[in-house]
Amino acid sequence: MLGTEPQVIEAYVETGEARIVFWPVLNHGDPSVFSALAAECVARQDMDAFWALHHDLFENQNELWRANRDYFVQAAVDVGADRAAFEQCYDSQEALEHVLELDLERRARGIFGQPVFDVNGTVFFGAQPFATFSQVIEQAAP
Amino acid sequence: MRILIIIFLVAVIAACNPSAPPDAANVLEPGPSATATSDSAVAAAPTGAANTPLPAEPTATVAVGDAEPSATATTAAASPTPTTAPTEAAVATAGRTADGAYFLGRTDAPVTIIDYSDFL
Repeated sequence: MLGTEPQVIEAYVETGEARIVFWPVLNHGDPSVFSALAAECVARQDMDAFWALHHDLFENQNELWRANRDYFVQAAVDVGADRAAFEQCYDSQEALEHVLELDLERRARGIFGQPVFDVNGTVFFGAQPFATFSQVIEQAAP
Repeated sequence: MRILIIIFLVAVIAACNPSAPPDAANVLEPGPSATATSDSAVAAAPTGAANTPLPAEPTATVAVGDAEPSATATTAAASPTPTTAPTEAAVATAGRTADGAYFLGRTDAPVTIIDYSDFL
């Protein structure tokens, strides 16, 4: 998401009112797969670094279409990941399978477009302004 | 005695006689040059005026600049005030869900937002 994400995180996640879960969707072939794979491999080292990379990848979204292995290695190193460990993970079948399994699971949940947001069971599609998130979150809060 | 008086009068008349055009010329000459001088002064004035405002502008800029840093400083000073931010940020943890997805926030948060997104 990125657009309203910082606001949502500041207003609801950092205050403990909400938790945000990122579920990768692979709708654009190899660029999607390798981006998600890179994020997975950074997550295996450091979850805070994952969120930093998550932010960087969305911010440089246009570059991902032609991004290669070197691009992702550098992006991972930039957020503090260990290069050798990242490369080993990136080249492994295990990490790739995990990313593909997550994608199969979201399809099984009936999620085909993106972005899709599920707020305590209330699902809405497409990028939304902060006000929409705010309203849905407030309604979902007990 | 009359002769002396006559000579004196002639001398006075001679002194008052406008036969002193050179003097007038001398007076006029400085005029234009004075004008030129004043042109120079005028010409210099703008330069001076331009220079004067320049320092004045920077001064104003400096004033603005001073004001901005002050505002920034105020903001910066205000930021630390919500020292709650680091505390709140510390509350938000990052981890994995049971499904292997990635979360940020307290595990016991009453609301869960699942963001299904492609990085592209």
